[in-house]
Amino acid sequence: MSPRDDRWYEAIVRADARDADTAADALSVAGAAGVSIEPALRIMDGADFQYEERMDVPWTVRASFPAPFEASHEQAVRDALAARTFVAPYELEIREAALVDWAEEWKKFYRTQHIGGRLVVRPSWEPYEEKPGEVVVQLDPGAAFGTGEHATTRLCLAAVEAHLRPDDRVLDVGSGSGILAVASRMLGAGQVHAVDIDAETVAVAIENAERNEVGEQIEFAAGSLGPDWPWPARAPEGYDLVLANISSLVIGRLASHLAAAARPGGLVVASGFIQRDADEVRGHLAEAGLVQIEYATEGEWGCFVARRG
Amino acid sequence: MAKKVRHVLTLQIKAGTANPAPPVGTALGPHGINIMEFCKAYNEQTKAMTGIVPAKITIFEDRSFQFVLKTAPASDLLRRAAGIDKGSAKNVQDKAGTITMKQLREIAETKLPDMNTTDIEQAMRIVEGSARSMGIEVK
Repeated sequence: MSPRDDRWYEAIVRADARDADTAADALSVAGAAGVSIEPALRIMDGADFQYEERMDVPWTVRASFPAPFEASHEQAVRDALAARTFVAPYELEIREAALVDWAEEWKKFYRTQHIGGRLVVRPSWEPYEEKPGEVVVQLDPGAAFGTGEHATTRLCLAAVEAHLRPDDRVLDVGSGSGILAVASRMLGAGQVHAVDIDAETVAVAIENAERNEVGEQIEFAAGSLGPDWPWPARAPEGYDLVLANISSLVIGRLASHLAAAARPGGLVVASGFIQRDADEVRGHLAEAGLVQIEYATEGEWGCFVARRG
Repeated sequence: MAKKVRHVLTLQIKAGTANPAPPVGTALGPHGINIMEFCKAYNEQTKAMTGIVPAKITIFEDRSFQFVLKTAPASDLLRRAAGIDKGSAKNVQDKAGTITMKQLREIAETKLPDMNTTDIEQAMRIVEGSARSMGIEVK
Protein backbone atom coordinates (compact mmCIF):
# COMPACT_ATOMS: atom_id res chain seq x y z
CA MET A 1 0.00 0.00 0.00
CA SER A 2 1.35 3.42 -0.85
CA PRO A 3 1.65 5.93 1.98
CA ARG A 4 -1.24 8.29 2.42
CA ASP A 5 -0.92 11.36 0.24
CA ASP A 6 -1.95 14.46 2.21
CA ARG A 7 -1.29 16.91 -0.56
CA TRP A 8 -3.92 19.26 -1.90
CA TYR A 9 -4.23 21.02 -5.21
CA GLU A 10 -5.91 24.29 -6.00
CA ALA A 11 -7.57 25.43 -9.19
CA ILE A 12 -7.77 29.22 -9.08
CA VAL A 13 -9.98 31.00 -11.56
CA ARG A 14 -9.91 34.78 -11.92
CA ALA A 15 -13.11 35.69 -13.67
CA ASP A 16 -15.62 38.45 -14.24
CA ALA A 17 -17.86 38.89 -11.19
CA ARG A 18 -20.85 37.73 -13.25
CA ASP A 19 -19.04 34.47 -14.04
CA ALA A 20 -18.03 33.62 -10.46
CA ASP A 21 -20.98 31.30 -9.77
CA THR A 22 -20.54 29.57 -13.13
CA ALA A 23 -16.85 28.97 -12.45
CA ALA A 24 -17.61 27.72 -8.93
CA ASP A 25 -20.14 25.26 -10.25
CA ALA A 26 -17.87 24.00 -13.03
CA LEU A 27 -15.08 23.39 -10.51
CA SER A 28 -17.50 21.67 -8.19
CA VAL A 29 -18.67 19.40 -11.01
CA ALA A 30 -15.02 18.66 -11.79
CA GLY A 31 -14.73 17.09 -8.34
CA ALA A 32 -13.63 19.89 -6.02
CA ALA A 33 -13.94 19.13 -2.31
CA GLY A 34 -15.11 22.68 -1.87
CA VAL A 35 -14.98 26.08 -3.48
CA SER A 36 -14.43 29.56 -2.16
CA ILE A 37 -15.66 32.64 -3.98
CA GLU A 38 -13.72 35.77 -3.14
CA PRO A 39 -15.26 38.98 -4.43
CA ALA A 40 -13.23 42.07 -5.20
CA LEU A 41 -14.11 44.54 -2.45
CA ARG A 42 -14.24 48.26 -2.03
CA ILE A 43 -14.01 48.90 1.70
CA MET A 44 -15.73 52.16 2.53
CA ASP A 45 -14.21 54.65 4.87
CA GLY A 46 -17.64 55.67 6.14
CA ALA A 47 -18.50 55.72 9.80
CA ASP A 48 -20.35 52.41 9.57
CA PHE A 49 -17.50 50.64 7.72
CA GLN A 50 -19.61 49.30 4.90
CA TYR A 51 -18.15 47.59 1.89
CA GLU A 52 -19.34 46.85 -1.60
CA GLU A 53 -18.54 44.03 -3.96
CA ARG A 54 -16.87 45.43 -7.06
CA MET A 55 -18.17 44.22 -10.39
CA ASP A 56 -15.45 45.95 -12.43
CA VAL A 57 -12.53 43.92 -11.10
CA PRO A 58 -12.10 40.13 -11.50
CA TRP A 59 -13.20 37.91 -8.62
CA THR A 60 -11.25 34.89 -7.46
CA VAL A 61 -12.79 31.44 -7.34
CA ARG A 62 -10.64 28.88 -5.58
CA ALA A 63 -11.35 25.15 -5.65
CA SER A 64 -9.56 22.48 -3.63
CA PHE A 65 -8.83 18.95 -4.81
CA PRO A 66 -7.26 16.27 -2.65
CA ALA A 67 -4.41 14.12 -3.96
CA PRO A 68 -4.06 12.18 -6.19
CA PHE A 69 -4.52 14.97 -8.70
CA GLU A 70 -3.09 13.89 -12.01
CA ALA A 71 -3.16 15.03 -15.60
CA SER A 72 -6.59 13.50 -16.09
CA HIS A 73 -8.00 15.44 -13.13
CA GLU A 74 -6.45 18.62 -14.44
CA GLN A 75 -8.01 17.97 -17.82
CA ALA A 76 -11.39 17.41 -16.14
CA VAL A 77 -11.09 20.88 -14.57
CA ARG A 78 -10.25 22.47 -17.93
CA ASP A 79 -13.09 20.57 -19.65
CA ALA A 80 -15.64 21.50 -17.01
CA LEU A 81 -14.76 25.19 -17.40
CA ALA A 82 -14.67 24.97 -21.20
CA ALA A 83 -18.16 23.47 -21.24
CA ARG A 84 -19.61 26.65 -19.74
CA THR A 85 -20.55 29.93 -21.29
CA PHE A 86 -18.62 32.79 -19.68
CA VAL A 87 -19.48 36.46 -20.04
CA ALA A 88 -15.79 37.39 -20.23
CA PRO A 89 -12.46 35.58 -20.58
CA TYR A 90 -11.06 34.05 -17.40
CA GLU A 91 -7.64 32.97 -16.16
CA LEU A 92 -7.00 29.53 -14.71
CA GLU A 93 -4.09 28.59 -12.51
CA ILE A 94 -3.60 25.09 -11.12
CA ARG A 95 -1.04 24.54 -8.40
CA GLU A 96 -0.17 22.36 -5.49
CA ALA A 97 -1.29 23.93 -2.21
CA ALA A 98 1.35 24.49 0.44
CA LEU A 99 1.32 21.73 3.04
CA VAL A 100 0.15 23.60 6.09
CA ASP A 101 -1.50 22.50 9.31
CA TRP A 102 -4.33 24.98 9.04
CA ALA A 103 -5.76 24.00 12.43
CA GLU A 104 -2.64 25.61 13.95
CA GLU A 105 -1.37 28.03 11.31
CA TRP A 106 -3.81 30.85 12.06
CA LYS A 107 -2.41 31.16 15.57
CA LYS A 108 0.75 32.78 14.29
CA PHE A 109 -1.19 36.01 13.77
CA TYR A 110 -1.55 36.45 17.50
CA ARG A 111 1.10 37.31 20.02
CA THR A 112 1.30 38.28 23.63
CA GLN A 113 0.71 42.02 23.89
CA HIS A 114 1.82 44.49 26.52
CA ILE A 115 -0.62 47.36 26.88
CA GLY A 116 -0.10 50.40 29.07
CA GLY A 117 2.13 49.83 32.09
CA ARG A 118 1.04 46.47 33.49
CA LEU A 119 -1.62 44.88 31.31
CA VAL A 120 -0.71 41.79 29.28
CA VAL A 121 -3.07 40.06 26.84
CA ARG A 122 -1.97 36.62 25.82
CA PRO A 123 -3.44 33.74 23.80
CA SER A 124 -3.70 30.48 25.73
CA TRP A 125 -1.11 28.66 23.61
CA GLU A 126 1.66 31.18 24.32
CA PRO A 127 3.57 30.52 27.52
CA TYR A 128 4.08 33.62 29.59
CA GLU A 129 5.82 34.20 32.84
CA GLU A 130 3.95 36.83 34.77
CA LYS A 131 6.10 39.56 36.29
CA PRO A 132 5.28 41.20 39.62
CA GLY A 133 2.54 43.80 39.27
CA GLU A 134 1.36 42.59 35.88
CA VAL A 135 -2.22 41.72 35.10
CA VAL A 136 -2.38 38.95 32.50
CA VAL A 137 -5.62 38.50 30.56
CA GLN A 138 -5.84 35.22 28.69
CA LEU A 139 -7.89 35.58 25.54
CA ASP A 140 -8.21 33.27 22.57
CA PRO A 141 -9.34 34.99 19.41
CA GLY A 142 -12.62 33.86 17.96
CA ALA A 143 -15.65 35.21 16.18
CA ALA A 144 -16.35 37.94 18.73
CA PHE A 145 -14.79 41.37 18.19
CA GLY A 146 -12.12 42.21 20.71
CA THR A 147 -9.35 39.72 19.99
CA GLY A 148 -6.84 42.28 21.23
CA GLU A 149 -5.64 42.62 17.66
CA HIS A 150 -7.31 45.95 17.03
CA ALA A 151 -6.04 49.43 17.75
CA THR A 152 -9.30 50.49 19.40
CA THR A 153 -9.21 47.55 21.81
CA ARG A 154 -5.67 48.51 22.80
CA LEU A 155 -6.59 52.20 23.13
CA CYS A 156 -9.52 51.35 25.41
CA LEU A 157 -7.46 48.94 27.49
CA ALA A 158 -4.80 51.61 27.96
CA ALA A 159 -7.49 54.12 28.98
CA VAL A 160 -8.97 51.67 31.49
CA GLU A 161 -5.56 50.98 32.96
CA ALA A 162 -4.80 54.70 33.25
CA HIS A 163 -8.10 55.82 34.75
CA LEU A 164 -9.62 52.91 36.66
CA ARG A 165 -9.44 53.19 40.42
CA PRO A 166 -9.90 50.30 42.85
CA ASP A 167 -13.52 49.23 43.32
CA ASP A 168 -14.83 51.44 40.50
CA ARG A 169 -18.20 50.47 39.05
CA VAL A 170 -17.74 49.81 35.34
CA LEU A 171 -20.23 49.48 32.50
CA ASP A 172 -19.03 48.06 29.16
CA VAL A 173 -21.42 48.81 26.29
CA GLY A 174 -20.85 46.65 23.18
CA SER A 175 -18.65 44.22 25.06
CA GLY A 176 -17.84 41.85 22.16
CA SER A 177 -15.37 39.24 23.40
CA GLY A 178 -15.62 40.78 26.88
CA ILE A 179 -11.97 41.80 26.86
CA LEU A 180 -12.57 45.29 28.31
CA ALA A 181 -14.90 44.05 31.05
CA VAL A 182 -12.54 41.22 31.98
CA ALA A 183 -9.51 43.50 32.02
CA SER A 184 -11.40 46.09 34.10
CA ARG A 185 -12.23 43.54 36.73
CA MET A 186 -8.73 42.12 36.77
CA LEU A 187 -7.31 45.63 37.12
CA GLY A 188 -9.35 46.10 40.29
CA ALA A 189 -12.84 47.26 39.35
CA GLY A 190 -15.66 46.47 41.78
CA GLN A 191 -18.95 45.81 40.04
CA VAL A 192 -18.64 45.25 36.30
CA HIS A 193 -21.66 45.13 34.02
CA ALA A 194 -21.37 44.40 30.31
CA VAL A 195 -23.93 44.42 27.52
CA ASP A 196 -23.86 43.56 23.84
CA ILE A 197 -26.78 43.48 21.43
CA ASP A 198 -25.46 40.18 20.03
CA ALA A 199 -26.52 37.35 22.37
CA GLU A 200 -24.03 34.89 20.84
CA THR A 201 -21.22 37.29 21.57
CA VAL A 202 -22.39 37.53 25.17
CA ALA A 203 -21.94 33.77 25.54
CA VAL A 204 -18.37 34.08 24.26
CA ALA A 205 -17.68 36.95 26.68
CA ILE A 206 -18.92 34.85 29.61
CA GLU A 207 -16.55 32.04 28.57
CA ASN A 208 -13.66 34.47 28.35
CA ALA A 209 -14.47 35.84 31.81
CA GLU A 210 -14.63 32.32 33.25
CA ARG A 211 -11.30 31.40 31.68
CA ASN A 212 -9.80 34.35 33.54
CA GLU A 213 -11.59 33.35 36.74
CA VAL A 214 -13.64 36.52 36.93
CA GLY A 215 -16.82 34.98 35.51
CA GLU A 216 -18.70 35.35 38.77
CA GLN A 217 -17.70 38.96 39.24
CA ILE A 218 -18.96 40.31 35.93
CA GLU A 219 -22.59 40.44 34.88
CA PHE A 220 -23.07 40.07 31.14
CA ALA A 221 -26.38 40.43 29.33
CA ALA A 222 -27.68 40.86 25.81
CA GLY A 223 -28.79 44.45 25.34
CA SER A 224 -27.69 48.06 25.17
CA LEU A 225 -28.37 51.41 26.76
CA GLY A 226 -31.80 52.96 26.23
CA PRO A 227 -34.84 50.80 25.48
CA ASP A 228 -32.68 47.65 25.21
CA TRP A 229 -31.32 47.95 28.75
CA PRO A 230 -31.47 44.34 30.02
CA TRP A 231 -31.81 44.84 33.78
CA PRO A 232 -35.19 46.40 34.67
CA ALA A 233 -34.41 46.47 38.40
CA ARG A 234 -31.15 48.36 37.94
CA ALA A 235 -31.04 51.87 36.56
CA PRO A 236 -28.23 52.51 34.05
CA GLU A 237 -26.58 55.18 36.17
CA GLY A 238 -23.90 55.85 38.72
CA TYR A 239 -20.99 54.15 36.98
CA ASP A 240 -17.49 55.45 37.60
CA LEU A 241 -16.35 54.28 34.18
CA VAL A 242 -18.47 53.70 31.07
CA LEU A 243 -16.77 51.99 28.12
CA ALA A 244 -18.07 52.16 24.55
CA ASN A 245 -15.80 50.80 21.85
CA ILE A 246 -18.39 50.77 19.07
CA SER A 247 -18.46 53.25 16.17
CA SER A 248 -18.93 56.97 15.62
CA LEU A 249 -22.54 56.35 14.56
CA VAL A 250 -23.49 54.35 17.63
CA ILE A 251 -21.61 56.69 19.97
CA GLY A 252 -23.54 59.54 18.38
CA ARG A 253 -26.80 57.73 18.95
CA LEU A 254 -25.97 56.67 22.52
CA ALA A 255 -24.04 59.76 23.70
CA SER A 256 -26.76 61.05 26.06
CA HIS A 257 -27.27 57.53 27.47
CA LEU A 258 -23.53 57.07 27.96
CA ALA A 259 -23.37 60.37 29.82
CA ALA A 260 -26.39 59.51 31.96
CA ALA A 261 -24.87 56.13 32.86
CA ALA A 262 -21.79 57.82 34.33
CA ARG A 263 -21.98 59.34 37.80
CA PRO A 264 -21.28 63.08 38.01
CA GLY A 265 -17.51 63.28 37.68
CA GLY A 266 -17.42 59.75 36.17
CA LEU A 267 -15.63 58.94 32.93
CA VAL A 268 -16.76 57.76 29.51
CA VAL A 269 -14.25 56.01 27.24
CA ALA A 270 -15.47 56.22 23.65
CA SER A 271 -13.69 54.56 20.73
CA GLY A 272 -14.29 52.57 17.58
CA PHE A 273 -14.05 55.54 15.21
CA ILE A 274 -11.42 56.64 12.75
CA GLN A 275 -9.62 59.91 13.37
CA ARG A 276 -11.42 61.60 10.50
CA ASP A 277 -14.64 61.30 12.52
CA ALA A 278 -13.11 62.50 15.79
CA ASP A 279 -14.64 66.00 15.58
CA GLU A 280 -18.08 64.54 15.05
CA VAL A 281 -17.69 62.20 18.05
CA ARG A 282 -16.26 65.03 20.16
CA GLY A 283 -19.33 67.11 19.26
CA HIS A 284 -21.74 64.35 20.28
CA LEU A 285 -19.97 63.85 23.60
CA ALA A 286 -19.89 67.60 24.32
CA GLU A 287 -23.58 67.93 23.49
CA ALA A 288 -24.28 65.19 26.02
CA GLY A 289 -22.42 67.18 28.69
CA LEU A 290 -19.16 65.23 28.58
CA VAL A 291 -15.90 67.15 28.79
CA GLN A 292 -12.94 65.73 26.90
CA ILE A 293 -9.95 65.06 29.11
CA GLU A 294 -7.92 62.85 26.77
CA TYR A 295 -7.70 61.93 23.10
CA ALA A 296 -5.42 59.04 22.15
CA THR A 297 -4.76 57.58 18.72
CA GLU A 298 -3.20 54.51 17.16
CA GLY A 299 -2.96 54.22 13.41
CA GLU A 300 -6.10 55.68 11.89
CA TRP A 301 -8.16 55.07 15.05
CA GLY A 302 -9.07 57.37 17.92
CA CYS A 303 -10.25 57.09 21.52
CA PHE A 304 -11.75 59.77 23.76
CA VAL A 305 -11.83 59.83 27.52
CA ALA A 306 -14.43 62.36 28.71
CA ARG A 307 -15.71 63.38 32.11
CA ARG A 308 -19.32 63.98 33.04
CA GLY A 309 -19.62 67.50 34.42
CA MET B 1 -17.10 47.74 18.19
CA ALA B 2 -15.17 49.13 15.30
CA LYS B 3 -15.92 46.36 12.88
CA LYS B 4 -14.11 47.46 9.78
CA VAL B 5 -14.09 44.73 7.15
CA ARG B 6 -10.83 43.09 6.09
CA HIS B 7 -12.13 40.44 3.74
CA VAL B 8 -15.30 38.73 2.58
CA LEU B 9 -15.64 35.32 0.97
CA THR B 10 -18.22 32.64 0.36
CA LEU B 11 -17.30 29.03 1.04
CA GLN B 12 -19.28 26.41 -0.81
CA ILE B 13 -18.89 23.23 1.20
CA LYS B 14 -21.05 20.29 2.15
CA ALA B 15 -23.28 20.70 5.18
CA GLY B 16 -21.76 19.39 8.39
CA THR B 17 -18.34 18.58 6.92
CA ALA B 18 -16.21 21.67 7.54
CA ASN B 19 -12.68 20.85 8.70
CA PRO B 20 -9.35 22.72 8.70
CA ALA B 21 -8.18 21.06 5.46
CA PRO B 22 -8.63 22.92 2.18
CA PRO B 23 -10.73 24.70 1.10
CA VAL B 24 -11.58 25.99 4.60
CA GLY B 25 -7.95 26.16 5.72
CA THR B 26 -6.60 27.70 2.53
CA ALA B 27 -9.43 30.24 2.35
CA LEU B 28 -9.56 31.30 6.01
CA GLY B 29 -6.12 30.41 7.36
CA PRO B 30 -4.22 33.23 5.65
CA HIS B 31 -6.59 35.72 7.31
CA GLY B 32 -5.79 34.43 10.78
CA ILE B 33 -9.28 33.53 11.88
CA ASN B 34 -9.92 30.77 14.37
CA ILE B 35 -10.49 27.87 11.96
CA MET B 36 -11.80 25.34 14.47
CA GLU B 37 -14.29 27.83 15.82
CA PHE B 38 -15.64 28.42 12.32
CA CYS B 39 -15.80 24.68 11.58
CA LYS B 40 -17.63 23.88 14.80
CA ALA B 41 -20.15 26.68 14.30
CA TYR B 42 -20.72 25.82 10.63
CA ASN B 43 -21.14 22.10 11.30
CA GLU B 44 -23.50 22.78 14.17
CA GLN B 45 -25.68 25.11 12.13
CA THR B 46 -25.79 22.79 9.11
CA LYS B 47 -26.04 19.44 10.90
CA ALA B 48 -29.63 18.84 9.77
CA MET B 49 -28.97 19.96 6.17
CA THR B 50 -27.74 18.15 3.08
CA GLY B 51 -25.83 19.13 -0.03
CA ILE B 52 -23.76 22.26 -0.48
CA VAL B 53 -24.65 24.97 2.02
CA PRO B 54 -22.62 28.11 1.28
CA ALA B 55 -21.39 30.25 4.15
CA LYS B 56 -20.65 33.91 3.53
CA ILE B 57 -17.90 34.90 5.91
CA THR B 58 -17.03 38.46 6.84
CA ILE B 59 -13.60 38.91 8.41
CA PHE B 60 -13.00 42.08 10.38
CA GLU B 61 -9.83 44.05 10.90
CA ASP B 62 -9.00 42.40 14.20
CA ARG B 63 -9.53 38.96 12.60
CA SER B 64 -12.80 38.35 14.37
CA PHE B 65 -15.46 37.14 11.95
CA GLN B 66 -19.08 36.38 11.37
CA PHE B 67 -20.81 34.16 8.87
CA VAL B 68 -24.29 33.63 7.49
CA LEU B 69 -25.56 30.60 5.65
CA LYS B 70 -26.76 31.13 2.11
CA THR B 71 -29.15 29.26 -0.12
CA ALA B 72 -27.69 26.41 -2.19
CA PRO B 73 -26.04 27.50 -5.48
CA ALA B 74 -28.53 27.98 -8.31
CA SER B 75 -26.65 25.38 -10.33
CA ASP B 76 -27.25 22.78 -7.62
CA LEU B 77 -30.96 23.55 -7.53
CA LEU B 78 -31.16 23.52 -11.34
CA ARG B 79 -29.40 20.18 -11.56
CA ARG B 80 -31.71 18.68 -8.97
CA ALA B 81 -34.77 20.06 -10.77
CA ALA B 82 -33.56 18.72 -14.12
CA GLY B 83 -32.70 15.37 -12.57
CA ILE B 84 -29.08 15.56 -13.75
CA ASP B 85 -26.50 13.53 -11.89
CA LYS B 86 -23.54 15.61 -10.91
CA GLY B 87 -21.12 12.77 -10.21
CA SER B 88 -19.26 12.08 -13.41
CA ALA B 89 -20.14 15.03 -15.63
CA LYS B 90 -17.16 15.53 -17.90
CA ASN B 91 -18.94 17.89 -20.15
CA VAL B 92 -22.06 19.47 -18.82
CA GLN B 93 -23.40 19.99 -22.32
CA ASP B 94 -23.67 16.22 -22.71
CA LYS B 95 -25.83 16.03 -19.64
CA ALA B 96 -28.21 18.79 -20.61
CA GLY B 97 -31.76 18.49 -19.37
CA THR B 98 -34.86 20.57 -19.14
CA ILE B 99 -36.88 22.21 -16.40
CA THR B 100 -40.33 23.80 -16.50
CA MET B 101 -41.12 27.48 -16.09
CA LYS B 102 -42.73 26.57 -12.76
CA GLN B 103 -39.49 24.96 -11.55
CA LEU B 104 -37.56 28.01 -12.73
CA ARG B 105 -39.84 30.25 -10.69
CA GLU B 106 -39.47 28.02 -7.61
CA ILE B 107 -35.69 28.15 -7.85
CA ALA B 108 -35.75 31.92 -8.35
CA GLU B 109 -37.98 32.24 -5.28
CA THR B 110 -35.57 30.11 -3.23
CA LYS B 111 -32.59 32.18 -4.39
CA LEU B 112 -34.26 35.58 -4.10
CA PRO B 113 -33.03 36.39 -0.55
CA ASP B 114 -29.42 36.07 -1.76
CA MET B 115 -29.78 37.98 -5.02
CA ASN B 116 -29.12 41.60 -5.82
CA THR B 117 -32.77 42.07 -6.74
CA THR B 118 -36.18 41.80 -5.11
CA ASP B 119 -37.89 41.43 -8.47
CA ILE B 120 -38.89 37.82 -9.09
CA GLU B 121 -39.01 38.30 -12.87
CA GLN B 122 -35.44 39.55 -12.89
CA ALA B 123 -34.39 36.75 -10.54
CA MET B 124 -35.92 34.27 -12.98
CA ARG B 125 -33.95 35.78 -15.84
CA ILE B 126 -30.71 35.46 -13.84
CA VAL B 127 -31.42 31.82 -12.94
CA GLU B 128 -32.38 31.13 -16.55
CA GLY B 129 -28.99 32.51 -17.59
CA SER B 130 -27.30 30.06 -15.22
CA ALA B 131 -29.42 27.24 -16.63
CA ARG B 132 -28.43 28.14 -20.17
CA SER B 133 -24.74 28.16 -19.30
CA MET B 134 -25.18 24.63 -17.92
CA GLY B 135 -27.00 23.39 -20.99
CA ILE B 136 -30.35 23.20 -19.19
CA GLU B 137 -33.33 24.35 -21.18
CA VAL B 138 -36.44 25.99 -19.72
CA LYS B 139 -39.72 24.87 -21.31
